[in-house]
Amino acid sequence: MAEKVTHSIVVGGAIAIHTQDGVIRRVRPIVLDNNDPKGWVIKARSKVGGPQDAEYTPNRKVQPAFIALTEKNRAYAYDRIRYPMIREDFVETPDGKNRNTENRGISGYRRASWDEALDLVVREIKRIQTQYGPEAITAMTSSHHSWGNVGYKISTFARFFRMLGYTEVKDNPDSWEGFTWGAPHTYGYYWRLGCPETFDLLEDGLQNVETMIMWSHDPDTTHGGYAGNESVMWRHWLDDMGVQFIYIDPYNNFSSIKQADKWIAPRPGTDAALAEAIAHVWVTEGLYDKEYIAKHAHRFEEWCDYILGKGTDKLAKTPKWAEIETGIPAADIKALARRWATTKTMGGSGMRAGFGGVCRTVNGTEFARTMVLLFAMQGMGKPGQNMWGGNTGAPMDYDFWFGGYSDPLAMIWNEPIADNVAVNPVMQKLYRPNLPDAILDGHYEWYGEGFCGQGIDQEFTQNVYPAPGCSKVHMFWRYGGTFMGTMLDTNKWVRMYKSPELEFVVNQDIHFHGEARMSDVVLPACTNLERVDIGELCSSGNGGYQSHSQTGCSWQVVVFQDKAIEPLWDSQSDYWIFAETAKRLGWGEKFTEGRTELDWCKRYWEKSDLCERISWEDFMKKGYYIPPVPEDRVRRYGFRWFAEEFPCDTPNHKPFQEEGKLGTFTGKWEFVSESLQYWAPHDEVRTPIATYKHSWEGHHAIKAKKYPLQLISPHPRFDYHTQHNSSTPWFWEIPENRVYINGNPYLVARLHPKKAEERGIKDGDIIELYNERGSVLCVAVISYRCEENTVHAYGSSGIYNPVTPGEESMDIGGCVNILTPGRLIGDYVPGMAPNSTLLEVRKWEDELPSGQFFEDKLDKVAKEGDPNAETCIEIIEGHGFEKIQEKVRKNYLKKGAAV
Amino acid sequence: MVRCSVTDPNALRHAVDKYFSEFPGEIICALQLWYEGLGGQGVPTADELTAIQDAIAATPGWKDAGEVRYEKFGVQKSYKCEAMKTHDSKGRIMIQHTFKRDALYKEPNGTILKLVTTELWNLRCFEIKNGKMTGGMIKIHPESDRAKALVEVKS
Repeated sequence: MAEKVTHSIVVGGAIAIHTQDGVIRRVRPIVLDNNDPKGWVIKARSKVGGPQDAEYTPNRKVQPAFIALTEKNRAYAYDRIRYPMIREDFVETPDGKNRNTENRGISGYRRASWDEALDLVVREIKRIQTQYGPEAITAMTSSHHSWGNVGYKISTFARFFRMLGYTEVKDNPDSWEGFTWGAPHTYGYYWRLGCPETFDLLEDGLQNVETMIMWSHDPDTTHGGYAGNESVMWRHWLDDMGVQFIYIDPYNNFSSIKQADKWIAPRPGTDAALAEAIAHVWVTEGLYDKEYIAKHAHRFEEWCDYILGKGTDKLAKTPKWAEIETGIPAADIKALARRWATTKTMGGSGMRAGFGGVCRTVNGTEFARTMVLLFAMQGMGKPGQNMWGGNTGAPMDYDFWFGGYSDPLAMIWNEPIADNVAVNPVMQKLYRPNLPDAILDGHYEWYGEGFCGQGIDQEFTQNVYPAPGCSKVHMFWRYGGTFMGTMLDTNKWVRMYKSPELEFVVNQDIHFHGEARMSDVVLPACTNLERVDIGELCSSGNGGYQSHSQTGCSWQVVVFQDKAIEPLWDSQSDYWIFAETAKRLGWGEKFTEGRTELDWCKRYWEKSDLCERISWEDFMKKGYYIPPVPEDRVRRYGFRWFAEEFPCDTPNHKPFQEEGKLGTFTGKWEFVSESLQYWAPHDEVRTPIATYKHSWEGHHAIKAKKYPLQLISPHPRFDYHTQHNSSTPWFWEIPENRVYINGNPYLVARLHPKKAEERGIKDGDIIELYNERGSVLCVAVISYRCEENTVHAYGSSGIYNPVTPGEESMDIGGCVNILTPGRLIGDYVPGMAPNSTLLEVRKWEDELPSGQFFEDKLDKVAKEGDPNAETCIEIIEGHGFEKIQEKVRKNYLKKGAAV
Repeated sequence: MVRCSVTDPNALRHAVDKYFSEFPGEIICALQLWYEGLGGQGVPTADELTAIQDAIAATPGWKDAGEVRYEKFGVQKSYKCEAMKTHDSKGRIMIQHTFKRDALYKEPNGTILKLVTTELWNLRCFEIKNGKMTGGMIKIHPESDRAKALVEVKS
């Protein structure tokens, strides 16, 4: 039979999928054809030794990250949830008590039909609504476990639960905490959740920049979020021009190894001290843009007093002082400061210039604020002077509108996509990082609205759980991905799941992740490739938070995400699962508005500019649409409007920007924050002047005597959140990622040779990372790429594999968040600080735990469905994978013959 | 600390008038005027706020607007200007002062549009029929005759 090619988008990028006889044969990047438009052209400097001017244009293909090419493996993965499952010792008691909740995570499952599983879910929803009220149900998604505007987490999921009524769990900005909670008090941009605007800065950079400061930034690993490898070439262009790259990171990361002219390694969590020392050099040597500061800065002199030691602490923030804190030689700090100030310098932290591991430390807010101020001191917004990390800000057609995933206009619970807006009647809220605390303690108070994109004031709302007059939560519907791997202090999540307070737990997911194993009912969802959807590559929406994230890509690509294969086993699309549940609850028609998933896809075409550019039929046939960037495009450089004082002309701006003001109280760069003085005068974490402070879990803490090393667990190279590693065994053969020993893929943890030697640890040894919160076994990689006090292991592990399942046990899956603190950054700063983790490391000399500990549960259910079913280990080893494909192919052909 | 004394009514009057002569918005609160117009530093006292509020209320064209939420300042006692400026001091149009996101506008033919996005290059709207957004997305250039003919429908 002929090969079929469909297209899709996943978190690693946009892809084309080749299928034959109902089976995925290969996944590849989308290659543009002659009918696709010309790429943008940027005229800039040539590479060193080349002609004076050069033109830069992108390759004619979409460039996904390698993780996107695992989609075939993820579809046929050994840990796919194949059938609806019910916990074996779950008892449907009429009052919700005595349900053996302590056995969650321990007990196995039995196979159920969809009818049995959904009927049980619906009975429990009705019971809990009747017994406690609608607020007793809560539900939560992970971030980005799939892609597509219909099936996305804040679309279909939100439609169902808004119509049902539920206690919403507010997300925390877990990837960029310090920028959300800190930077707005310096320059506004709360509507971008603290991140800067970087419009058209690729052109600015190519034309002007001389030095790039890559501070806590590993773009080849983090891909500009979900932009794949789109921006890798841009940084090569800069390199070829002779632009100097300075990487600042306790770990000499992958981008740094490839590109850095200089690697500077601060002790983890001390970056704010380094930033202050840079400022000290600039102030004492007069190396800043005085005219710009005089015009645009607020209370700069007071801040200088603090830096110079004339403030209340009487401590000058000299390079010598910073050397003691950071471990970086004072001479290096001075050289860095002078180079930064005397060349055109751009830079940023993390994947969109306002992310990075540093902002996920106890000093994260103060680092973010100080870093913004450093760029302000050099005239931010002038040519070649800006916050830009070399991975966003490509030219795009701003006149083309297609809704991205966080755009309120692009969700199926909202108009114009839906005819009727779904409104959640429940006002009670929970907060994700402290969900376990709230459930276990029965009471929780916190500040803020999670993502506070609607105003600075949102950071300071007071919340209490349970809300006055409201019931506590007794049912949890978990949807996609796993927080055992992304949220901190994993064991408190274990304790939460075993609590009888949660009378009923549903998990709807594709793979049998850590949290799925803690539920009463498991609902198997299918992958992106087994359903239809529509979406734009890397777009959070032109009206969503961090708008225009697709400028991290060389091409804007809107994709008709056609179904490549039928849903495998008994899995169904998320939309189908919610629609069926709604039907059983008596409001199925209201939920669907009579539309299929394909109908909803077409609504996105109808309600956007897409319908003006391409017919629906042509779009479905071709599979994607690329809007051309006009050759006479208008440049809208980030912050240029502010530097040159004209009404803001960048997309996604606020009315006060048209008045020439930033989003601070004064409209200027606030070196002393008026908003913090007004809103949080007693905040000891975010003081009006951003100051480097000793961490409650850092090298000055008493605990450091017992746990002297510091863990950094940055965003992973071989996962996106908790995906990819868990379902892609060939990743385990990459020595930089994992080492397969005794049936288990141990995560690699890196440490400095000196610290390793002190502990008798050699390269390749099994080591135990531990502190008072738990322990994780990893494989040691001894490397000078680590700062001396640092242990580096990628965070958000896709594999959580406790030796004693369902208990607060040692883990061999690499879930290092077992070790990270569950404590929030501060009383007024509800952010996480995973990179403020003290720990100790020792060589593991006991017997190794054998194999893995959850596959037998999946195997048992699989055999109930099919005695000849392939076991997990057979799939991991490869031959089971082939057998599955062969079975699917036969079924497909049989059906075809019948037709 | 304040750079313009609010205890001197004449000085305050002068500073408020000067600020309003260039202020393009239509809503203001005492806090905003304190920080942007008077060079205030730190949190103003209740007396200082009252003095500023009195000064605003005494300014011709500005009327009490009750409590209004600001994204920066939260809910504040506010004042509204009868004649809003839509251009900056150099005559350049300020789109988002001229057209408000999520507001309803009436066209000369009676069509009601909901403005869902205000970009410099496009106002993006949907027609409202029976209280619902209908049809496809409508694009109107903000400086076009069609845009100039839009009249805000006050709720």
